[in-house]
Amino acid sequence: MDFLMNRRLFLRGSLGALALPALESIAFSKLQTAKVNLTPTNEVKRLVCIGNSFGFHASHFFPTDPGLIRSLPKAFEPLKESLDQITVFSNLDHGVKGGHYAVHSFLSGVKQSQASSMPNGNLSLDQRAAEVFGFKTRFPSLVVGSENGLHGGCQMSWTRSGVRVPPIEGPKNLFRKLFIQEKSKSNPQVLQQFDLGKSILDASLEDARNLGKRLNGRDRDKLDEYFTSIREVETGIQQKEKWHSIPKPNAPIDEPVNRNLVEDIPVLYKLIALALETDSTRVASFEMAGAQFNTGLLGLNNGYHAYSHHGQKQENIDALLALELYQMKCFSQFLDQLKSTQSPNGSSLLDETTVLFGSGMGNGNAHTNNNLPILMAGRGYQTGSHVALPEAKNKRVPLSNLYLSILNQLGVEDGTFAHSTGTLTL
Amino acid sequence: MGKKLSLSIFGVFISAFTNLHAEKNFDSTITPFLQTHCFKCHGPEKQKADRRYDQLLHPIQNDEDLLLFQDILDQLNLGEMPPEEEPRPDPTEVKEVVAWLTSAIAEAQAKRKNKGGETVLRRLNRREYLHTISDLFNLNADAFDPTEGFPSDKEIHHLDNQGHALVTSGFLLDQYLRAADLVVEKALPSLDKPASREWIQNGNFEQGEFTGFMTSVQKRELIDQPLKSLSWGLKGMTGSMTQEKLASRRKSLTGNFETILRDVENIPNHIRLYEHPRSQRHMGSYAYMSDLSDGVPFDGYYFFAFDATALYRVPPYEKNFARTRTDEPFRLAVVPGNIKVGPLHLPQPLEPKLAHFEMVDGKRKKYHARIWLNKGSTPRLIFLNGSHLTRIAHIEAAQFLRQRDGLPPLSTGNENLVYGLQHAKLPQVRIHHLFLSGPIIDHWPTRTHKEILGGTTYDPENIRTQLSNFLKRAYRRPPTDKQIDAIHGVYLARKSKGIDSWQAFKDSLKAALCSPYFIYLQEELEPETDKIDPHAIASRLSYFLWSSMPDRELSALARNGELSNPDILRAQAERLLRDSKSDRFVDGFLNAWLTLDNLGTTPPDHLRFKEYYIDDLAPAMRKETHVFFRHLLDNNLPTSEFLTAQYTFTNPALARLYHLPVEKSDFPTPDSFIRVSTEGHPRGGLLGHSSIHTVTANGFDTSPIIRGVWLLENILGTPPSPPPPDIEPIEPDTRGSTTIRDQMERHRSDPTCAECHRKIDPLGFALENFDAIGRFRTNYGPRKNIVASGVLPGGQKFNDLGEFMWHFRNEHPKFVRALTNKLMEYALGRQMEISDRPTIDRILKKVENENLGFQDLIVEVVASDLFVKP
Repeated sequence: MDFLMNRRLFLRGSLGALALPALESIAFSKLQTAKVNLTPTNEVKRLVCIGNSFGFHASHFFPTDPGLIRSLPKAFEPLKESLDQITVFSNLDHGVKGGHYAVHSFLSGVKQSQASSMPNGNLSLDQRAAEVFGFKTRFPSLVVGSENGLHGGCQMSWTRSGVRVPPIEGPKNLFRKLFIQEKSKSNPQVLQQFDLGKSILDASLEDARNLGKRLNGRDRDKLDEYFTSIREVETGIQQKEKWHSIPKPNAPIDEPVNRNLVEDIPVLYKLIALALETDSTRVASFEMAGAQFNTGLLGLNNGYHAYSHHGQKQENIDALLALELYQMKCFSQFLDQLKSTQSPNGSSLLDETTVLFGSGMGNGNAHTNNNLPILMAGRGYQTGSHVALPEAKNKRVPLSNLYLSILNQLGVEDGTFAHSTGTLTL
Repeated sequence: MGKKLSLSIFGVFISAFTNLHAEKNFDSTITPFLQTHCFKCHGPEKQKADRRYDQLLHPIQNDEDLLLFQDILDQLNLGEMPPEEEPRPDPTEVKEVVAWLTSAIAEAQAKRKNKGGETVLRRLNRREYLHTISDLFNLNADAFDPTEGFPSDKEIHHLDNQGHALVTSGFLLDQYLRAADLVVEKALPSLDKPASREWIQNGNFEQGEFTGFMTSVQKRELIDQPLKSLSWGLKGMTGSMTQEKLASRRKSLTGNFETILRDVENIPNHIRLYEHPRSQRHMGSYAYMSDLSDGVPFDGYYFFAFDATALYRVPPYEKNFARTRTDEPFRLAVVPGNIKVGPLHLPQPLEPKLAHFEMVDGKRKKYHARIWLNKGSTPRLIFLNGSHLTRIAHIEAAQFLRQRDGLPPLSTGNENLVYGLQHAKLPQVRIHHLFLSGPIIDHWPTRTHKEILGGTTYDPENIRTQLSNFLKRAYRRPPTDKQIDAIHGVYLARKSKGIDSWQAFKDSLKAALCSPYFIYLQEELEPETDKIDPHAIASRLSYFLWSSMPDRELSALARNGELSNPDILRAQAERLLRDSKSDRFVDGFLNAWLTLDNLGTTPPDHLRFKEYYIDDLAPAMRKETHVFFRHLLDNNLPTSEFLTAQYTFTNPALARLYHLPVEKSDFPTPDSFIRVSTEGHPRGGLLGHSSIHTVTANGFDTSPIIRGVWLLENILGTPPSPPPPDIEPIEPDTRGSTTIRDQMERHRSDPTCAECHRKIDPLGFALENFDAIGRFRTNYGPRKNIVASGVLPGGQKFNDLGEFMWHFRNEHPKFVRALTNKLMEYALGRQMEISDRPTIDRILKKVENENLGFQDLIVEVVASDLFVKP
């Protein structure tokens, strides 16, 4: 604590106008001006966002009629028993183009290339939630996914400075992050490491301050990023120090090994559920990069990407269905797990968790980013119905409206999100 | 991300076509049109939807007006305005207005992006960081990547070194701290010389693939409910299997497994390799010492030896189930593995080949090599030309054998697999004995120690001098007292916490690696001039051509002021290009220019493009382009050869892919690339390179639009305007007898689409003769012939691919301009702007007038006024 305050004072005194705008703009002001709806202390709200790279075949995903879901879309077979836990939306998207290169806008509504024109950049739904209530848990958010995969994977989570949140890769790393104290180092060694970090940041700050004096406007803006980074790392070290003395929860399962995405999906879901259950985080995102699917394990010979370019061939569409059924099955088991876990408040974990499942890809065959498959579950969306929004071009509702509503329901009382034009409540 | 094959890029330079239209008079063409069709609702009286168009001016004044213009364009393209009840505008008029608006908007966008022609404080990108670290500490970075975990750098038009796009974030600084720790502790492990030792393994091999497979079957069922069904494939997924049934199956498998261990000849005394590591399923790809799974205790060279037998290269059946090449000797390689990164029987991200071996058939033989190993890594043998589809091979072989021997068929794939593993004679390498000793230390203290400590031993009495020595190289200029103070401060702070002097010294080096002076290029002005100072010039040059810090010679020239002499600068550019470190430029630039960093990111279909995997074509494709580029560079050949060369460089596999008439015996080794004539073949010149065909396909099929846009953007530097907002991509339909050309025809008959597509499509169609991995083809399938004829943007007609390639050479002026722009952008770390055009023009003129070659062109970039401007 003292560490942070001293540094703030130091910055204020020694840097004057140079460093503060960055600090003010990025770190503090946004957080402080967010109106946080202080809910009763015992009510915990959580958000889980899940996305894949290639979307879902439309006729497998969207129910034919609006309203209560009566005839089950093919890919929903595994969700048969939990229909009352979900809501499906159709005709929602962000109005972006770019095929694979636009999938990353799934949770932000904004392509990275357009981020600089937006007040909050391409800040994603999950990271907005994490900004507001992330401080309550050891991990402000958990982003699970991979840097690999077609065009860098799904790339769902973005900070307001336009930086992708580096994903945690594989069950093993996620498990270790959640449950394993760094064993290789003794307690004094860990503290020494924190101390070294602070010494280095002190020197870096001094250097940056001197460097800043010699720079012109645009270079100085660039250096502001560096000042902001120093502050973020300091906050990180502080967080680590704070949580270092609090033991991580005991691992309820053995340490898993990394296999391949197909086999890892259920394990990752399980770990995400455990992360919520142990209150290690309240915001989790899961990027399922389709290209990493080891389709052979599902009895298929070709790659997921190849099937997504199905060219209307029935055998390809059938294979897609198999891939989609598998994902839905794992998702359904995830919902079951949340449902069967009791939260400290006595309700089920699912009743306190808002779950978004979908993709930034609409039609995989044509690689378009409209009519995204959007499925909500859990808190606020236990309706069993299909919400069909207007299809007509001039009447379309931005997906960001739904995101704004989700944030509002989580107690983040923002007035807009990305290109939202209002809210989308049920 | 705004990278890779993005279709929606407004170029900084507006193509000739758009300029033409921009000259059309705003007042005589556009205003009357708007007056007739728009002002009624969006003029002085009414401003429906809050839009008013009568006050718009040309050139476009500001962002608000830009949005209004964009809005008009979108509405016209969509055909939504004017509304239905109003009179329809004349289609030719609409077309003209659309064309005008498109160019005016592009022009305004370019101006908006104009940053004033200066490089923004430029951070080392991930690539540059790694090279700098390895040069600074004299580290072998082949299998050591401290940048793993760095967030990926944002690219602008595929360039990864553009100052304004290289963001620094808390995530990155966190990684800098982590990497600094790794690097310094690795570079300066201890002041004591490490002891050597030996490791031997003669038996008790873990048959990685086998146990790996079997235990994963078992474990899957134990770990987790949903995993249970996986090993049984889709059937198990939809149907349900009882616990008892699962248990009995597992038991039977385990039983079988033990039987195999007993039955099959001496399995515990050897380990079998069946497949190369790129195969889809890993049944047996790596042989390693189970006793050394934690890896060696020190960095260094080691002596590695093993005994191995190559069996069944030509399998004794009619069919080659393994789909291997039966006409070439088996090849093995050693790659490192680190158990902290992942299981040793599976591929890992960093697998440089530490040694290669060609095997003799049938006999058990000894092989050995001296290899570099990093602390914590262990040598692993891989079977370079093993099978691609081991599982399928064993299953098919089992089915074949049982039928041949009159046995009843087995019911599941796994049962067949086990039978195949037991009885089939499929291509395999057996490893019997592994030996390792080391580290072999030739010099102590190491070169790194000497490099860092200035040729002496560590002297705790002389910290400031030693730090100053280090900072001079780390900061790429002599450090100021303040800079030394800051780092020395870390040393003192650490000492005051009771840390010993050597460790405190190392900690202070870590601080230097996180300092902004290390991670940003400081392009300071030379006092009294508008040029950057000599140290900045030295860094610009070395980061351009080496992606790394200047070496001693370059730094010395900067220090004594000689670098501002243009002749010396040119000579240095030539020297840097002669150094092998300039391969970093070749790779870095090819990634940016020809988007080769995308190669391999959309893996081709495993069944349709088997040779891509069997022959490991991705690196070969990349290398063809690299060697060709290098050839033009080293021999200072005219840049027109990029388009006209009648030769290329291939290894045997690539020559086979290209059907080039070259004998296997012409190649010294299966890995070597030799120059091959391509006369009479659609190869030679960049347009014939499979790297380009593969990177412009999606691993599955090809799109003339994607390829056409790619050529316009990267080869000709005239990117087309993005499609209007409501245009949907063509939905691929590969069922019927229609071809992509038929589908596109409909598209091109629409006048608004045709405007751009007449430029895009012919280029793409011409390349349709190349499939998704660059194989030549004449049809998409039965009765679906490829018609590669068309008209080039310049009006030149062509009837087939050959004619296209012949005529495309006439596009050289656009090509060399695009190339020069890209070189300049890569060199300066910023985008070219309109104000930079005179310099580019001057260079191009000189190159043309004096008949300069490719190397000269690069040197001219270095010698240009822009190169020394901030």
